Amino acid sequence: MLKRNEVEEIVTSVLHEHLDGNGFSGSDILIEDDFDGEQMVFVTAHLEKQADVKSLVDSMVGIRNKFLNAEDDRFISVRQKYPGINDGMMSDEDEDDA
Amino acid sequence: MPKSKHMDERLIEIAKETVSEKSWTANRRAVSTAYYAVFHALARTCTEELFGRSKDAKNLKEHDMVYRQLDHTSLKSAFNNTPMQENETIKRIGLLAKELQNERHKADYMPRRKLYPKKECEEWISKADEARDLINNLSPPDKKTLAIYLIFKNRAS
Repeated sequence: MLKRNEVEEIVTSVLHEHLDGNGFSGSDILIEDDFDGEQMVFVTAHLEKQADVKSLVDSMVGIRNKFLNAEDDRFISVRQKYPGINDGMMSDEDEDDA
Repeated sequence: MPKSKHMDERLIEIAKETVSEKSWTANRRAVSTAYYAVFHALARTCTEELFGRSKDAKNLKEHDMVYRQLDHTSLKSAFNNTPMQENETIKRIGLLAKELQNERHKADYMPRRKLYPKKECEEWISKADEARDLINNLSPPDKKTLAIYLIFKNRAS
């Protein structure tokens, strides 16, 4: 299984490759158990402008390929944060309401 | 008479109709529904590979037995089988299905969080849409591979 620094290196290089056109400026990488208790790698790419879904999925596949080459079969999730992602919500539901 | 739609197609439509600017709860439902659209697209495709698409086939008890062979917990291990990893399109489908499955779990069970603003919710639905498109446009041999490894999961490793 890849070490944390190796994961970071792979994620950063793949995100540069696919998301530089959207102003990729860095990422948060969370390695934690998924709902059924197996490790998964959750990546949040920080962008200046919204990327299309194809670019996000291409990034996910690029990371997965490099993981598999290193015999690491953990699944990946790639999402994005960009200015304005929270725009348009006018909810009156209480945040603390379960 | 208009052509009837598959359940997975309707589920995606319902997910899109559910997206809201006013309700975090509605957006959770939309993300969850988007995952189920992919899940049922996979189950339908696998079953069609074995039984074909005729109405008679769909009325067979065995049809439902095969359809229900696909379960949520085995998706990940099925997509980690070598032939599934080596096929670029199936790999893409597997990543999307796994990602959406995890999100579905959060959407359905995670309390006390504003999880999905409208734009993010729409993004998850677009991912489900892409997964469905990929599943529907698989070549016949790739559909066969998908069906074998998803349905006969216990004997496919």
